[in-house]
Amino acid sequence: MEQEERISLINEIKQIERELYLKRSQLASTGDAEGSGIYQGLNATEWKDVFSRCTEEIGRLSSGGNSVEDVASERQR
Amino acid sequence: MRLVIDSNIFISSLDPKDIFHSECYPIFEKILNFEIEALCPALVLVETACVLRRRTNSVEVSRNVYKSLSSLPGINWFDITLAVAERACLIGAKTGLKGGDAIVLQVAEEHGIPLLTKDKEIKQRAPAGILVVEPDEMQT
Repeated sequence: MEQEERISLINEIKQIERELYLKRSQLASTGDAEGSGIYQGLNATEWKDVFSRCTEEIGRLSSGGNSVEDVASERQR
Repeated sequence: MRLVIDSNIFISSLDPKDIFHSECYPIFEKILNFEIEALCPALVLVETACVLRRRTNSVEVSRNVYKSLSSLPGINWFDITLAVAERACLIGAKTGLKGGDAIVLQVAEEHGIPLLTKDKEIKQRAPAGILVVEPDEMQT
């Protein structure tokens, strides 16, 4: 497969994944996601576990701070 | 309930050492429970991942934050297209706010929903017609 064709295919897959994600988000926001049998991702409890682990790790490593100041400086660069 | 969520809310929610963590985490829990549908420009994802990268000095943490937030069904991420940039420019021109502030306000304006932020400057200078709220105003 040519490099150009490969990149084009990767971009096409990304686009399809993005559309799929947006449709899943749209469905989830109606509250019907779990009952519809369409959404194959994690459920709310599993997402809580994901972010619980993530938050714990951030808490272990973070120097802490003020998010308002940090984002303001992020937007000044 | 649909809200535009600013980067500072996600950062405070995800970092237990952030001074606003206890105030912002309940909002994030509502997103996880699908009680709040979040609409965010993709800029918010970048800012959140980058700030947490610097705070933790961890590439892995930053990647996890990006991957998890970008996949979370309760958040709709929006591209910053030229049309979005144009409307954000108008907000920036009108208010004198920073570019990133104008972009999050633009999403709120376009969808006719409030912006949730801890940034008082955005709240004070937002154009009339765009509702800007803080987490403590969300308590029911």
